[in-house]
Amino acid sequence: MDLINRYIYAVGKRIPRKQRKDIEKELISSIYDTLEDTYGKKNEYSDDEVESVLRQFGNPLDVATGYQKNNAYLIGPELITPYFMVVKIVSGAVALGLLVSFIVGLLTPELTVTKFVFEFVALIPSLLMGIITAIGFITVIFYLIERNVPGYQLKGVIEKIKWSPKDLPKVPSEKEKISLFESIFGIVVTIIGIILFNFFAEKLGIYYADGIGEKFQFVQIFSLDAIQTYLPFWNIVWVISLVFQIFCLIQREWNIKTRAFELLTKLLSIGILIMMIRGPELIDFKLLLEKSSSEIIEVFTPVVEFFKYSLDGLLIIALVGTCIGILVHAIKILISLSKMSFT
Amino acid sequence: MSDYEKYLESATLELRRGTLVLSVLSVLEKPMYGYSLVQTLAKRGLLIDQSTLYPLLRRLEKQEFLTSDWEVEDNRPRKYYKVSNLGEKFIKDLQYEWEKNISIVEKLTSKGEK
Repeated sequence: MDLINRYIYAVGKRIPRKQRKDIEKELISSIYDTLEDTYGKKNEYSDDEVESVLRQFGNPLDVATGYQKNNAYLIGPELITPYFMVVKIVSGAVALGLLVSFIVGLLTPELTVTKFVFEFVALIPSLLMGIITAIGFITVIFYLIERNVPGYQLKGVIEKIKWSPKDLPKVPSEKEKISLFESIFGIVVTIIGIILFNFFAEKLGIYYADGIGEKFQFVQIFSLDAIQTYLPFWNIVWVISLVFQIFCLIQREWNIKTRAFELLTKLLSIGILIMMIRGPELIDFKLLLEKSSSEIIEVFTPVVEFFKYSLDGLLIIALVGTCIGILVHAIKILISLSKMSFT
Repeated sequence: MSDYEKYLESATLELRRGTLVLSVLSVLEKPMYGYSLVQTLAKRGLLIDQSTLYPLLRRLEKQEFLTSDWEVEDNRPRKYYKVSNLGEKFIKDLQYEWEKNISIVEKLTSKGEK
């Protein structure tokens, strides 16, 4: 019976392999029971008869869904609202980031209106690709939270019926709240950073016109060698801090989890800062001054002298700042831990 | 379908869904296979889609309220379901809950006696 086989196949392919054989066997048996009951015992049933019985059984998709376990979902109800929020924010940030880098990328002496329009149209596919990739990453992150962070699984929610009002988390005070704007700003800046340094590092620099109507001049700021050395490490920290910022958007308050996460990202940045102090200079000031025109040198010289031809001073300040930040976070974690042990 | 009809339909379905487990388990006085169970239920007034019943039977089996055996009759394998000991207890407890529900809802809905 070709129709029955096709029907069983359509149901079976949507059912987990482990139960498939048994369910298929039972369905076949029930289909024949129904046929026999409706049209009498026969060796062969007509296509019309089979069709009417199969219609009665229903759409194979619905039948297969009926056999699915309840957790046949990617992101549960607990997380779906923050998920959509993060998708919107990150898609916006990626679009903005790509636009900014697109404009930076276009700033060349040969820029004409036609070229601008042409490049702009060419940008659309990569804009879409970027957004789709970002949504993919977010989905993976949420999936991992869903399956691995206790309290988010649907099952966990149901099993936690034994709750007590005393266990409810405190309403965060204004100080403990993570501002929405801060998180969104952080996400946007991080994404723009990732895009700029990964794809347009050679375009980062100072653009200036020698005079009205003159062509643009360009001085590259960063040493590409240094960027190449540091970029893999930056990327690791950026991605981790993106995940952190998304996690903050879900939690919306400073608690042990968010603080511990922040601590981790800060520790990583310390490692990288130390590496940058010891490693090659990010900005080669001597080279910068050599390449620049006289007007630029005039503007630059005080700045360069302030830094003493090296960014190390700035990096050390950042290092100290980060260390203080870590200390503050560690103390706050200790405070909330001690509060927890009292209650 | 108007919104009202849609809401009525989904509320009715929900009412029914809650009673399905008790109905199905109660009818299984002797071992039955899927289609015979559909018919028995229909005879007693409960029309249930086969695509609803079979997954339900499987779930009850997984929850250990039912056990099953394949038997061959008329050259055709049939899966017979039987209520387990745990299932018997489950029926009793569920029946008790059901009756409690009825008496509460009846008190609430009969406007005369309060």
